Amino acid sequence: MRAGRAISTLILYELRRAVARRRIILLVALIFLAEAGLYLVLTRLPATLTAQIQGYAWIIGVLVPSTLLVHVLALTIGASAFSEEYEMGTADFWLTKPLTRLEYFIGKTAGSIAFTALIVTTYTSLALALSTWIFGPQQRLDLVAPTTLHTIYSALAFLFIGLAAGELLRRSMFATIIAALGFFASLITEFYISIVTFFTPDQALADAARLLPTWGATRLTSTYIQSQLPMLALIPTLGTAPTPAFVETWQAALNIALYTAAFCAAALIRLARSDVTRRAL
Amino acid sequence: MAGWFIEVVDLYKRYRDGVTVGPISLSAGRGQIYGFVGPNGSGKTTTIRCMLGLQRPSGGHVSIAGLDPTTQPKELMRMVGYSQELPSFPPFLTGRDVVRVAAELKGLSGEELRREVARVLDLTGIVSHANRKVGGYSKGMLQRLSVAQALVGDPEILILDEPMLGVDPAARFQMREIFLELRRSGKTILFSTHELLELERVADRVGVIYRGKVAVEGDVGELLSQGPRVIRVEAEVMRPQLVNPALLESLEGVSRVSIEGSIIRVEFDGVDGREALSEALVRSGAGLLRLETVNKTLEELFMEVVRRHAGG
Repeated sequence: MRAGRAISTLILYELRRAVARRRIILLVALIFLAEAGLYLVLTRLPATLTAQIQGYAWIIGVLVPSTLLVHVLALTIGASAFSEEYEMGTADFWLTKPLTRLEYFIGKTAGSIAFTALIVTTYTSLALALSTWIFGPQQRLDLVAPTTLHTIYSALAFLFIGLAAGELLRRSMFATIIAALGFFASLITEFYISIVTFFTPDQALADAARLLPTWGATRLTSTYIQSQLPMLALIPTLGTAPTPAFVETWQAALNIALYTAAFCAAALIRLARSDVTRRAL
Repeated sequence: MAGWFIEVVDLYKRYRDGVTVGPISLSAGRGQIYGFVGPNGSGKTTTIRCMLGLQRPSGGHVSIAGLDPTTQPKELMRMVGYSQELPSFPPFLTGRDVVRVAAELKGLSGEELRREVARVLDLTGIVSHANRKVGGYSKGMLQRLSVAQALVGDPEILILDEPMLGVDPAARFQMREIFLELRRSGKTILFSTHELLELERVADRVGVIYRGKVAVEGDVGELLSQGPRVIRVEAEVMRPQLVNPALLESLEGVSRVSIEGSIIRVEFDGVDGREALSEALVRSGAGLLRLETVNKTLEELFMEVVRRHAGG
């Protein structure tokens, strides 16, 4: 019972901490601005272009942040979750309370996930509201909840990569930079492979691209939507043999699960086995 | 050795850069106030952090109320309140939030939690600032808040790292009263400090740590009365102009004489020359008003340790 209460105390604290951080608020504002800007652009397009997508405009508002911004947000949240406590000297406060390091880890991590989920839910709601307001009634709203869950799940990979970087380096800015470098390096590599495989079909190279952390994270939501709405061609296929969308969804989910588990374990081992760093005076 | 409530045996910590603290051994009985004193960088905070399980010792053993901080941190922390050196709290929380979070983690809830938060805020004198964000607190207020959150849940043991640092005299007095009251109620307190006078006023036992090792440890009273020591005597006379300093210096064992107005201070090194001094002052016709022994202070004890070690 006590462990559950301690974890919920930490989750609430983590939500308050995220809201109090300028870096995070800036990113959240950027997501909402991108969302609003996207719909503004859509209203400027010729009606002949938007006529076919009007009923599904909410999907565009969900997919655009889900492919890039949400991962940058997640890695930023993750990178500071533990490292900032060391920097501020507040790790001592938490770890000298009746709380195991595992409970501390669970509470902080759950709080980070909860905040990410809150942002994803909010921008999905914003996408729904804006698309209904601009383009009228939207279709396939039964997909809103599962799409939101897929996006939250897809954010886990880079949230945990950031979290592990933060726990290993114990410097929030440094950890954010390293995790962001990892994200963009993976994204660029994936893009490069897609170009190469487009011109010289190479299944081995295409398969190798599936091992990159961005491969699962950036496409889970879109492959899921594509599996439900096959008429929407959302994703350019990699390699020679296009994979069915539902298979790709599972592969992406597996990719995310593996990265999440590996970096979660790295962070937890580091936290459990090492000394609590003192604040640099 | 059996029966100690807090026991540290041959604890040492080796850092990656080669710096080693310890081996350190110290012990405190239940219901005692243990003062931990030493210069900056001597290893006090490292020892305390090892005692709390924040750092893992490279060797040695810590037992607090029979619990090992490395393997039983949760059980131990239910009994311990800790205030860190240069306390730091999330700046976006209010003082009340900090204490409330500490109370929640100690397992309190509902009305009991509200009462406890109000009690410790009132006890440490920060109730009027409790709704302000911690980021705007002064050093002294942070110290009070740190002690407040340590007191939450009425812990059996308090471990306080430099609790008097940056605290004004009124707050210092208040903290001293809190410590003494806690001792009266049977709590055990271990605290590190540079404030030797405060330590002397409240501590039952003291450990002087120097260059990573405990140089002296024992009950305060015993330490201040033992061994070859300086006896400092202070006398007040009516006519100080009649006192001949050379005559006083010639008395057996006198190491130092100083005269400031009507006050004469004489130090005897290892010899109790109070009788001879009294006689000399009476004979001089200066009119002896009073003569009393000034006890050796912890500061002198500390300086003895420093001199002894510095001199090799």
